[in-house]
Amino acid sequence: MRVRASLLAVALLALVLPFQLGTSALTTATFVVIAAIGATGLNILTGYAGQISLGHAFFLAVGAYTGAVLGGDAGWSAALWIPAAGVVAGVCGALVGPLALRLRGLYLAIVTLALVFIGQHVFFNSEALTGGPQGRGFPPVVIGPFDFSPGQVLRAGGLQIDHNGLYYYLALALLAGATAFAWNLRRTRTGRAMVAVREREIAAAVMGVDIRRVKIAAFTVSAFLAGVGGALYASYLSFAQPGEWSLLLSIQFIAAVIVGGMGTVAGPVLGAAVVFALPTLLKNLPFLPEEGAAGVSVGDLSSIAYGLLIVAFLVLEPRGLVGLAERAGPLRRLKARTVRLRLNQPEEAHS
Amino acid sequence: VRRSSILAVAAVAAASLTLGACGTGGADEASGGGTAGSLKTGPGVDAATKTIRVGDLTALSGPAAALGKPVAAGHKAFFEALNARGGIDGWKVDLAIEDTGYQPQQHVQAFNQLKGDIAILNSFGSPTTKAIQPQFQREKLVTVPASFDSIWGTDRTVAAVGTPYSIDVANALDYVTQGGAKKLKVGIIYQNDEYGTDGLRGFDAAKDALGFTEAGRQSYKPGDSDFTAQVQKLKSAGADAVVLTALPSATGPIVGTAATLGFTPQWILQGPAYIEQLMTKDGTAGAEPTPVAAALEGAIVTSFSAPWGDTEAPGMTQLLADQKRFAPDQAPSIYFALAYSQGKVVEQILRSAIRSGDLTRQGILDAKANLGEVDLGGITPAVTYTPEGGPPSRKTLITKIDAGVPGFLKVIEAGHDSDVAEGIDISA
Repeated sequence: MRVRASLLAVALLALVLPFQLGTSALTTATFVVIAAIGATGLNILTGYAGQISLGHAFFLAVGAYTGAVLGGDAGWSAALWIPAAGVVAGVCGALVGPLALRLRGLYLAIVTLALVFIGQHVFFNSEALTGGPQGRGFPPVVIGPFDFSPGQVLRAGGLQIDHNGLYYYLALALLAGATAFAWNLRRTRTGRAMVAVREREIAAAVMGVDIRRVKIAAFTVSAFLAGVGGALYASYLSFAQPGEWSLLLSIQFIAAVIVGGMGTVAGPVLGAAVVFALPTLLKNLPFLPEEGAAGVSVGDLSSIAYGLLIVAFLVLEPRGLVGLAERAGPLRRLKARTVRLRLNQPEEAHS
Repeated sequence: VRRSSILAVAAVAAASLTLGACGTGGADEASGGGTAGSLKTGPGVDAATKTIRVGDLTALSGPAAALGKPVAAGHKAFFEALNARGGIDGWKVDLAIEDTGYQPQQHVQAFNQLKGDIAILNSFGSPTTKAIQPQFQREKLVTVPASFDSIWGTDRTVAAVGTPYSIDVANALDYVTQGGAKKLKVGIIYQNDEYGTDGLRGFDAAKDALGFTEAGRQSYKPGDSDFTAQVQKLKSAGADAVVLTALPSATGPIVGTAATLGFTPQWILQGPAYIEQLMTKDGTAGAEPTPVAAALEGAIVTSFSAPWGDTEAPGMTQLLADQKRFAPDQAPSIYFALAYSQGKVVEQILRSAIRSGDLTRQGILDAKANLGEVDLGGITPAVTYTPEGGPPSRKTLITKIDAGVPGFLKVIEAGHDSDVAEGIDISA
């Protein structure tokens, strides 16, 4: 019951957020929500099934370019190209999955790393698809009468939702779907099999888990969500060069999963918020010197703080923000009890 | 199918029908406009305090910080000096600098933060500026990019300063081959990205028009540190001249590697390939020379601004005075000088808009389109803006590296133009 209530509170907060934020903060929030979709995907692969992948940026790119070709060049509706982006990326994931059957841990990480570099080479050289090194434009989301391009607004009652808000809500809806899926997956046969594979592959095999099936499924699902996230990200950004889908992006997603809390449902969302919003938030701290002043720039300071934070999390709380919240749990219960005790004595005050 | 799921499907269908009935529509025109006396004002213009806010999205951190810092410093020094001189017809300029670390995503975020409250925008970098292009086009917000991509000539809202890369390369090759009269073997080493591609475009155009022999085209990835293979291939092909469409971090190793191999072609450095620090440790004249300084002597540089301290350029004295007063720590930098010129362009656009009494977005855009030629004091080649668009300039500043002059660059020709460069189609 408590879980339901807090879930409802989070959902409500997420829904009213755009009306509380300025345009810039809303843009940041939209990027965070979009990134959280991709991070949820990586969490299924790494957090649930225990397969380390540095190739997430590749799947994001596959989704983005699928969206660009189907939505931009072929003019499909976003109701088709967003799922299609996921499917194409998912197929790529299914093709890569078998690699994980022979490789484990660091070796798998290196092989998936190669995926990013092969991707970079292909993207830089296939001009028709990616625009070559110069990059290409990506189509805005258009579903029937709903046009998400800059300058369009949705008027519903007295409310006005601009282009940033539209992307925010679309991404939020998709994230809600992805999170619900991840939540349910954990309690299914496949989900439990993934966790078994993560804990001990041989033991899982002995128990009758089809390791091949589970690993390929994890790669497919993870790549599907990455594809959807990538398509949305590129569409919101409106322009991207192949260099965008670099190793750094993969690492940011891994950082998001780790900082948030690996293998948990809320972890990737919290982690995405930290990893993708923090650099911007840190920059706006009031006590930092004015931009353009000599010496170390604010951007440098924020990069340093950001790096330190990730190191601190890995060293001090490897279970991430979710782990931190769980530690705070007993404290909170204690507090709740004191509050209840106080509430039981109002009569005294009146008398 | 269970009942609840049928209900859910029905609910979703009903919801999409109601929402479908409304759909999205165009937004109202940007707010913040008004009229003050006979002057129409738009976003970023405060008639009460006579202040115009200019946005500046730059890179003070990240991979391009070494170039972004002097550019931001140049803008800052120019506008502070302008305000100290009384501003533009009494109007002061308030510069809002945001660091976006050369990341498109942060660029979009910062753009959204600034867009409602600025009259004109400076934007650093190609990929970053392209990410906000659809938005500033729609907002009719005149944008001055610190980027020389050829495509900027096709966008009416963009006020590019400087000659596009492709035209610079073509002009330099025209100069080196003396209009094709000298039969040379020419090679190119280019960075495998949009900057390199644009340089390569000029190379191809020049090859067709001038009829020189190609000694090979070698590429490298940003971040590469070993260039032996590329240099060796051009050496074996017997290249007489080699174009470097590179960044300074690659220029040094390439020229150094060639010198060790005994390969000394006529180097042609495209603007961004050169930086003062290639010659001495901190870029000033008195400092210790670098190991590649000797090998760079005599190299041709298609500089995008006049050599630092070269007072032959009429605008240089003012620039140096302003730098001394408002950016005293600034080391000699062609990027600072370029940014200073961009400031001048912004000033002229705003001045023209003020004179015509229309400081709305549309008014500033019209002022830019009809500005005609803007003389930039010889610091960068004059730019021309017309309603038809096109590259801001087709002339190239040809300089030669000479350790004995200030800024290490000696001007050979202040505005070289050629038939090849005239013929390059920048709209492709």
